[in-house]
Amino acid sequence: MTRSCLCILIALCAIASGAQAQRTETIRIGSKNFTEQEILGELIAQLLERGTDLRVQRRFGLSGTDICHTALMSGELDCYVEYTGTGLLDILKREVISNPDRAYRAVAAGYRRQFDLEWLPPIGFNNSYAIAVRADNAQEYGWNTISDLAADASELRAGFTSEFMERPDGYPGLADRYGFVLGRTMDLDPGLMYDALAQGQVDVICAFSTDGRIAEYNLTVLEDDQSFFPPYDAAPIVRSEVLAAHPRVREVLATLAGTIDDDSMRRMNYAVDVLKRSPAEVAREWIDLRLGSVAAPEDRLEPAAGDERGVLSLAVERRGEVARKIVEHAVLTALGVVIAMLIGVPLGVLIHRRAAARGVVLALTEIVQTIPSLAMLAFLFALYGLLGTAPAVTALVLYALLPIVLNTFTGLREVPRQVIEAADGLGMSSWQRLRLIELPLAAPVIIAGIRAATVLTVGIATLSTYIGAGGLGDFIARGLARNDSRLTLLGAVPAAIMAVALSLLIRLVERLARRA
Amino acid sequence: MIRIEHLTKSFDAGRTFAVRDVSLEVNEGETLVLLGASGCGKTTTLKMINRLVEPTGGRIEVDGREVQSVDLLELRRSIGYVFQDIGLFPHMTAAENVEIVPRLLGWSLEKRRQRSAELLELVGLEARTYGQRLPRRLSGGQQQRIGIARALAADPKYLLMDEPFGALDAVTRDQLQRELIDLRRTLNKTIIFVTHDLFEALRLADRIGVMNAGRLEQIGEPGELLHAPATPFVTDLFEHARRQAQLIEAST
Repeated sequence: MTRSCLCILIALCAIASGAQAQRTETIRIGSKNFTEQEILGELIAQLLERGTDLRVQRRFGLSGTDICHTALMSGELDCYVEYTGTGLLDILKREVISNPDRAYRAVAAGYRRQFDLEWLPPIGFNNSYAIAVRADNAQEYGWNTISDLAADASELRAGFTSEFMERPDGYPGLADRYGFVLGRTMDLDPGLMYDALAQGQVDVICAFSTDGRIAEYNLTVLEDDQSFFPPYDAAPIVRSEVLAAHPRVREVLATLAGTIDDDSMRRMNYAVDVLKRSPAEVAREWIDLRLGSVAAPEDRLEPAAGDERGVLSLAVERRGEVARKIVEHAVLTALGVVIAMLIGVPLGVLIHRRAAARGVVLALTEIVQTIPSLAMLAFLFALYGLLGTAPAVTALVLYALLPIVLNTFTGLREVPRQVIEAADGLGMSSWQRLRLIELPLAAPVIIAGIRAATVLTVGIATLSTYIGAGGLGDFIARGLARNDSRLTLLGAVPAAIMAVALSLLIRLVERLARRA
Repeated sequence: MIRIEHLTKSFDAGRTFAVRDVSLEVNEGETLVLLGASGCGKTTTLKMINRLVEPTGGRIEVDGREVQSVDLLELRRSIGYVFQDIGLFPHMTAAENVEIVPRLLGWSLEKRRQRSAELLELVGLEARTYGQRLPRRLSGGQQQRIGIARALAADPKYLLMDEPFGALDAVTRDQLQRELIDLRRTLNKTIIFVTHDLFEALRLADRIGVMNAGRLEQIGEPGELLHAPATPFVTDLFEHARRQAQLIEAST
């Protein structure tokens, strides 16, 4: 028991110190959780891999601007692509500046002064929010501008990303500027939004103007006649100290400046979202094209070979990656459950012996259980200022505690009174009674609690992807972000199998304990 | 020798008494039976001897040492205790149950094994057949035999027995009473035996202490109690028993 505790401690220290040691040699590139961000992240990562001798680490699919920004501030990320309007309104909390150049200068100056972060030159395209509707609806109701929606506003259902619902340059500001409120709004995943609109589940979405699916789904972008949306010119943000330490990074990324216009970006997004090619591949192609090593064939935007493959052949093709994600997922789950056991069983013993602690401990673990997982992850990330394993495992531990604490307590309480009296009467110390009598007799119930906690943890661990902790959730989130159900299954199926397998395994242990 | 002086256990800040001012002595090698109806304080008195219950007044000496001044675990390990509801550890085999006190005392495994085999045979259970059985695979009588073997494991000088045969059927009870008498002859233990059954008391006791409502009514040899009852309660108790015995005799 003590030996396994030690092993875990050593493993945790190794993880922590590993993170520390990597900092000098490694550059960490981040992205938010939608296609364009992953392509741009790949572009930057691959350019740096080719142009510098830094080790490049990818932390893609982070859920939203705030997490990316906080990660950059805490040194968990070194670089990601941001949009001028987002930086200006969302992070710096400034007023809208309509002139793109002035907006860029303002946001760059603000970041340098407030955060010691540097905006490199803009990449060239403006990915504005765009209010999009179905073309047939636009025609039928005569919608050309956003103002045209006012007449029908109370009837309309909108599907907006959760970020858009809260940003000042999102729905609140839009409703304010245009003076209407939509009948119903739904918070949707960016990847699902377009499908929801195409299928008529919603009438209005907040598209991204560079999104390839606008054309694919035959959508109409309504004119922003009140000039509400600020410019959103994309540019890499890098931590100043990284640029100072590695001047080569600036040179390499300078090759990006002004090279991708709206249309090029839309085509790359289309290649991933609609043609189901991988962001890495699309990025590599673009780099080959720019660096002139490959000719520029016009037929590049063909579907990827074997696009219609089923999930099985996809799994076979990417088996290495799948295996790695399964291992990551198993490690997250194991760390979460084992640490929860190390805390939960003693807590269960404590509340069994000290009635005074019972109410507080049970109430706290129950409250923890009611916190939504994503909120918990975001909160722990803010608390640690770290991405990855530490906050993810902490969240898993907190969720796994309740079944373990509760079952330990219940198991101990169910030990027959006369057995306890016999143990006392024969002269066992309270520790001997616990070790020789109470824990062995409570073991089946405690193990059942651990089983419940394990199944719970396998599920919740799929959300760790949103703070970059890896695991099978990566596939699920990517599948959602790209609206590719095969990718989602690539994560969901192994996770389900893992949950069932672990449950059966632990049930076996439970049965053995019951027989003893 | 166990000496009990003015032993009292009260609840509700002295308003109700489980045991009230009980004084008695238990001599080396004798069997003292505490006899009384349920709730009379006999079990509480027994439990105060090995401090499963702490007294609110009076004192108890075991071999001249006051129990309050002896290390609690050492005290309990040095006194054998047989429980009314047996209280075998359900996850341990019969042999492991018997070995528990030697284990707490740090005996070697080999010595423990030898001891448990010896004791199982002593209480009439073949070690090879019954040693590896879990309690739930033993009958009630076999379980209490294990309970007695467990109490005897570390060869304690004193044996406290709390209605050990109360839950058994009449035939098994009769058999175990007989075996206890034999056992006592070979082992020479000092025993305090609690029961509500007058016939059991008469059968086993060197002396009987009759308890009623927390008080010790009378203590003496069975003949003494029978012929010279000190209180109306003791008189009634034996009168009642005599009538029962006559009833049994008349019907046969």
